Amino acid sequence: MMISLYSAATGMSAQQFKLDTIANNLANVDTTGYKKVRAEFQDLLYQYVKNAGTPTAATSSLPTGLYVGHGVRTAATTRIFTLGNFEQTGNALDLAIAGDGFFQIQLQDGRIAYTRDGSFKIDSEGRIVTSNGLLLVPEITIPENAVSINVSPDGIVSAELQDGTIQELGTITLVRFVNPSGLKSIGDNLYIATPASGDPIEGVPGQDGFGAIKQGFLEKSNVDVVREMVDMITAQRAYEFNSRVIQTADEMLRTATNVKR
Amino acid sequence: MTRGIYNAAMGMLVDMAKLDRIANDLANVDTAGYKQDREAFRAYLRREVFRQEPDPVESRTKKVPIGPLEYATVLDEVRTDLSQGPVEKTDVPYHLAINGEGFFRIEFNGGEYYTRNGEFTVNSEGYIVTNYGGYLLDENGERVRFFDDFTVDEEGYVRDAYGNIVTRIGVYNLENPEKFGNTLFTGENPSPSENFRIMQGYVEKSNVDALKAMVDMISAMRHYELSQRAVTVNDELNGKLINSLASLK
Repeated sequence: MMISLYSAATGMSAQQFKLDTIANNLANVDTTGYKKVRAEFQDLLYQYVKNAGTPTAATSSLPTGLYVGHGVRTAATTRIFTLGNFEQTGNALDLAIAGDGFFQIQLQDGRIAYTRDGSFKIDSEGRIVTSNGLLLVPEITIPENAVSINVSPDGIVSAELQDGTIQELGTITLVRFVNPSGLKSIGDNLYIATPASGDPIEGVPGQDGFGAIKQGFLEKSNVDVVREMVDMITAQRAYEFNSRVIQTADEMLRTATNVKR
Repeated sequence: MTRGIYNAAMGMLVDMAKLDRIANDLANVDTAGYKQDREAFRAYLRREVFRQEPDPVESRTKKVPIGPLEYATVLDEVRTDLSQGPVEKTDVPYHLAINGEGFFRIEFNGGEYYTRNGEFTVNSEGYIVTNYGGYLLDENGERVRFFDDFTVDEEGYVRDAYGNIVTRIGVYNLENPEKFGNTLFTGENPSPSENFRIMQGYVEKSNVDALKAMVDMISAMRHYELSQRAVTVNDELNGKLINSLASLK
């Protein structure tokens, strides 16, 4: 009798977790470069009382088995890397990747992190940095007397100086992963590589499957609010169903205790 | 004297088994590729009921059979309902849904299993895998390499970005599929299925009919109460038998 109580509890737990991921998606509906998360479930093990195929007599065997399941577990939270919409901002250092690829960012401890958030700024020394002041890799420095900055679709950064000359400053390279969903999110729109994601594959924007860089655009969150709302309704109703099961199991237990007055 | 109590109590026990099944189905109402179960009960024992009749010929009473009485209910079998679940559009290129009959073949932990759960992803080596690391197999039993720009058509042919056929996803019919956990099935005699369409970018969701589960739950609950009444009344009758009828006062 306890099986149904615990099965239903796993169901409620799973839906609560799903609601947490939905809430996080909706909170980040406006975050630049955010990729939505999807909760995936699997059923738990089955307890077999009789296995199908067990012989019942000399010539016959059971066509089906006798088993009971134990509920559900949250198996994975998968990040979905579909492309978000692009918003035109007009800022010279707002860059969006029109396709696959991540910018490389150097963390404080020297490790390389990856991001889709292309809202770059210039620090006091003229280097291109993220909104948090972390360096873009490969490091590119804008000279003080630059009048305008141009980033070509294949990542070449050049500046027009006061005297009218164009100076080429460097190329922004992108990286790709075989399994981007295997990247680990560390917050601040940053990801780090894991064994599951595979090694970073470096490349030039616009070639070999890498997206081209669009200057003056930012990639918005890929959260679809309508889908999240529908998922939220489903999660709530599934939660309710499972709570009904717990109530029913409880009533039946109470009935059982009343067998002997 | 106690047979009535045991019979009614067995009725209560099978209701608990029924509730265990409903609880598992409802817990998995949101699990992709999950198939709901149905249980069947049967009477386990059977005996002949007789009545006593006077037999003047032999000047004694004789037993005359009235008919059979079946009693003792047990859970006979649990069968999986393999009907098609609803399909959700996710736009993820690794998600595949089977519309029709058949299972995907998965290599997991050294064994081969089957599933309807199409929530695949890609591992670091580029193989298409489930979220617990099981490899999806093609029609030759090989692991499938998959890249973002690959397409899978309705018959399961995997094409690369240029339209060349790379391989074909294997879809199999099973005899006697049995649930294993992780939305996997084990089964016998896998044969290639003919009656299917593969939809890329879609996921088949749970086929649990929540409304039917709720109705089954109400029915189990009320039957449980009725059986409990039967136990209690049996107990009272026995009480009368012991205390009143056989009283020596």
